[in-house]
Amino acid sequence: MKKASDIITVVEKTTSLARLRFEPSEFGRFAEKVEAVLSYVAQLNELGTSGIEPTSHAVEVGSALREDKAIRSGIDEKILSAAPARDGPYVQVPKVIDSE
Amino acid sequence: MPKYEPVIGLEVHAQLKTASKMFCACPASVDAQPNTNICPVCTAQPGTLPVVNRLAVEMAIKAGLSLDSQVQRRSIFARKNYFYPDLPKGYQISQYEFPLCQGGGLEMLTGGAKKTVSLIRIHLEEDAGKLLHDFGHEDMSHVDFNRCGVPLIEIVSGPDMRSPREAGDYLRTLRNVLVYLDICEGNLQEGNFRCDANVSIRPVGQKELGTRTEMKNLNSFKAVERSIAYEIERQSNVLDGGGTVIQETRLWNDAQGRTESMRSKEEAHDYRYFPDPDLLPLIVENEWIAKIKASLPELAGEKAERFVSQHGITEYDSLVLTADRALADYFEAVIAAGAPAKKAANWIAAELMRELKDDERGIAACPIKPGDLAGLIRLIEDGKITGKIAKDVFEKMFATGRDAHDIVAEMGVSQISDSSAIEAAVDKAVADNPKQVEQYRSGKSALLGYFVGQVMKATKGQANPQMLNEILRKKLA
Amino acid sequence: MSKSSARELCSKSAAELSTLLKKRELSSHELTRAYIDKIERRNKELNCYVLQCPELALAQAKAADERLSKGERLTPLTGVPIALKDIFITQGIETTCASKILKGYVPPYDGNASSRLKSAGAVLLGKLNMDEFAMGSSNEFSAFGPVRNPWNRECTPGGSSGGSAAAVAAGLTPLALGTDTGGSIRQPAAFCGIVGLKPTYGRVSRYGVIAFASSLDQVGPMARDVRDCAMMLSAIAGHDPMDSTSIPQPAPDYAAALVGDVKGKTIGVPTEYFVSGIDAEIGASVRAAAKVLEGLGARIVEISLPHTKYALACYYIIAPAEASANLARYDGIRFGHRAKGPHELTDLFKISRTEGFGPEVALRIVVGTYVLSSGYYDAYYLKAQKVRTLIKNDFLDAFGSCDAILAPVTPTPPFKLGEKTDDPIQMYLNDIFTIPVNLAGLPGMSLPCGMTRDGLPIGMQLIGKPLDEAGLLNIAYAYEQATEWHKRIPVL
Repeated sequence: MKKASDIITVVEKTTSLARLRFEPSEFGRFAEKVEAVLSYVAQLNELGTSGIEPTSHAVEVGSALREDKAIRSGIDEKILSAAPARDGPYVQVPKVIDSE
Repeated sequence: MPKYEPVIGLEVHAQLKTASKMFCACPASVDAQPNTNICPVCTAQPGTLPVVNRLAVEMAIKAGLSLDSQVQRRSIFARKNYFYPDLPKGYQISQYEFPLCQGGGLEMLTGGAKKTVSLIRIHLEEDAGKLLHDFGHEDMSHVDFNRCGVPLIEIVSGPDMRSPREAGDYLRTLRNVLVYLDICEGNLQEGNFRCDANVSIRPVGQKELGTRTEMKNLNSFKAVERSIAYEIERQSNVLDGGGTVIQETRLWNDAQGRTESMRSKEEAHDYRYFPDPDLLPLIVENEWIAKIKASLPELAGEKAERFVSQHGITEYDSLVLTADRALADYFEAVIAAGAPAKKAANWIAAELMRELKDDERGIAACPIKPGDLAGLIRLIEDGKITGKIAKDVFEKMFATGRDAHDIVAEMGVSQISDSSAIEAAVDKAVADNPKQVEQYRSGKSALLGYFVGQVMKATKGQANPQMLNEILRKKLA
Repeated sequence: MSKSSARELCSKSAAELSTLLKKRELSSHELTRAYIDKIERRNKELNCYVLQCPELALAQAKAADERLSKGERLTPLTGVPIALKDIFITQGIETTCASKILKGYVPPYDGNASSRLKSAGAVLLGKLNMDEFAMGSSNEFSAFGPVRNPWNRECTPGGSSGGSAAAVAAGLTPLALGTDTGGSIRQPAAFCGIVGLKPTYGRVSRYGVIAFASSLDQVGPMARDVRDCAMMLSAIAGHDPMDSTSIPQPAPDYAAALVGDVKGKTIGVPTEYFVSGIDAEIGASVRAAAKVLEGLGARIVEISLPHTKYALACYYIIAPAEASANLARYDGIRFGHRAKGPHELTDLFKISRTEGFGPEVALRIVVGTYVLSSGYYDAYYLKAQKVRTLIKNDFLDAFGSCDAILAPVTPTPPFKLGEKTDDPIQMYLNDIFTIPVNLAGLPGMSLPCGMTRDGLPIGMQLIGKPLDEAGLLNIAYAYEQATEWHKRIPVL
């Protein structure tokens, strides 16, 4: 059973990884809910699954390959017009320092 | 005896020359106004889904077959999750646990010998967009999504390289293979062929690998070699100073000639890879692979063997000439224009390669047409010019792009093969140098060279050397 | 038009309306007008619609009437009003997925369902309320307020397609489209006393469906009776090259398959669905339904689906994991809500998303991020995928001895608003009977089979073999024609 402080740390880290943030006043209750769900789903460990193939895809068979034909969407402007911050043809974001 | 052995592995991302993107029908072309090659799929509008480009798969298989890599019957696309403005979905569709190709190797010539660099894997993935920073806004960056979704293959080598030069040779050879297959433009500066280098060092004799750093922002072959050299030295200094090398990503600063630690991030990347449920497992049946194999151009290795058996050139020359498809084609064009194979091989491998040494464009930068090079070689074979003069003519051909005949006529350097003219010159040389004649006749046979020199001087180097030699020996006897 | 005849129109089935339209005894304009007026009067108390588009609807009705008068390109849906859960991308019409993060988002493209229905000549009345990003079982997690059950305003209509179910039940649209990831069509259909069908995974294209859990999401029809359901399914089913998981086989004519004959069919009743805390009235109703089917010539057998009790845990690993990745695109950069304050990128992401997402969505994103993260992937996500195989195999084994499976839809009747919103697991337990079907990718449908003492609807679930929607519809039709439950409508 995880210690309360462990759970808080784990949930904090995961929340940050998911690019979310909570007010300190709400965070405790949120972490409790996360823990409730994680504890519930951990019951799968009761089941033996050695030798069982994982279902990584809902549909296994088929071949959905597309021919290499370039088609312009014709709606670049419509797409760009939805951007909250824009500068001419570009979408604007806060300055990015590091490159990936 | 060096203290440390460098261990280098390279990760190459090559953009595939498809017409459309990897998962949508947008044009994959580079030269376009910003944000004009975009659609709901590659800008990750809600509700959109990816569909795999068949030609991209084919190109990746071509690469795999040419690099001796095992094409897997079943491979899986996976999501690589992270947040970044140039990554609209918040994940990149790549391949993780089950890549399209496993293993492989690339044979190259390095330091005058053959070496095979092993490959770990080749997989398909999509490119991200571009972030631009220099727009006069201090606190804003701009995003262009044109490049989002362009198909890439990632080729991961084993940690087999041991010097910056080997890394450079590997990269050049790999680039040539991909250009050979017509699946990638292979231009580092333009960014359609990218390289990250993993570098570590270990004390000579140690089996375990040292801690490695990853280097990015390598925009030319030179940058790759220089940055690796720098990093090897930097790591050596760290170890010599009693420190430990930190595992990190470093950016190459070309202007300053050094690598720099990327500003530390709050957390290391946890990409949370999992199979992409929007895509089916990629199944590649043997029939398809066979069809692709049949359509491949003659692979470098086969071509090299054929050059040896068909054209009778040395294995070494053959490897040099087949490393680059365009170079191999050039060689065969020169032969087709009438030059004997061995001579053509010598001229190309030695003279031409020397002239082109520093030009990253390789044979594409050669101003001498194959027919003209053949013409030059024919002039030598027919005794119209001497081999020595030919080198001067060659330099002029390279500088001007003109053909040999024109230049020879202009220089007036046609070889003199008229025996009476040579005899006359020899007679004069003998008459002008009685002392040397006596010395020669009394045993100093090396002085033959002196007389050769005198006659060559008088004939502006145009005397046919064999004929001159014969006549001299006769007259001096 | 008199109020009573408008009321009559709004209680006719879509099939009836289609016939009247084709006979030109009714115009689409008249019909659409009747619905628009009713929605205007009734929507406030139920909150089914988050967006009404009366002008567009009337324009579409006019165009449909043209087609009908010329007899051109007629389909069963030409001139028939429909409504779409706000998870469906509709070009030029705001689509929010009931989330603040997409408030004001007007899609630049049309989704598959929307464009098929447009081509068929259906008339779009509006977009329907739902649980935010389809995450919920009560339609209480909408950014635009809860939906109320037409049978009892203090009760939930179920979720996440709560708006769709309530709208059909209340006669605010003859046909609706919903989506079902863990029961989101079937459970609200049961709570509202209507018919809802979740097709085989891949039967209907997901292109233009805002993604929640990609390997589980499916689009399905919601209607007052089985024939209407079949009609709607035919309009949307079929291969779509824009969806790689779309099944290539063409779809049959589902309405034509409604022969209503179940003689010789074997129907399995799973033991595990009748244990553990199922409401007594629900249990009794479903068993009574089995008797009806037996009376019609079907053979009822007991079957076992041994891994049933692990389905919920399995689902609540896989669905949040996929959702955490699917919702990463809501980052305030290219569309949707962007926070005003932050000047630094990471802050911009965090605050935009926290301001935009509701608490249930945030919860599932964090759970999903966790189960995929380094060190936990094998124990959670990979494990859940293996359990999924076991659950799928349970069904495939069972189908060795039966043609279809009969089961309850929900463990309880419709519950009161606010009753379960604070306890995630309690809320999730609503879906224990529907979730296994999504995990297995099978077709499943819900239709009314009873009422509780308190006058709330009870639904029964039919689960079929892969791509056997026609078989399910047929059994459902036979049951329906032999009973009266589908004729009951709530008093508004």
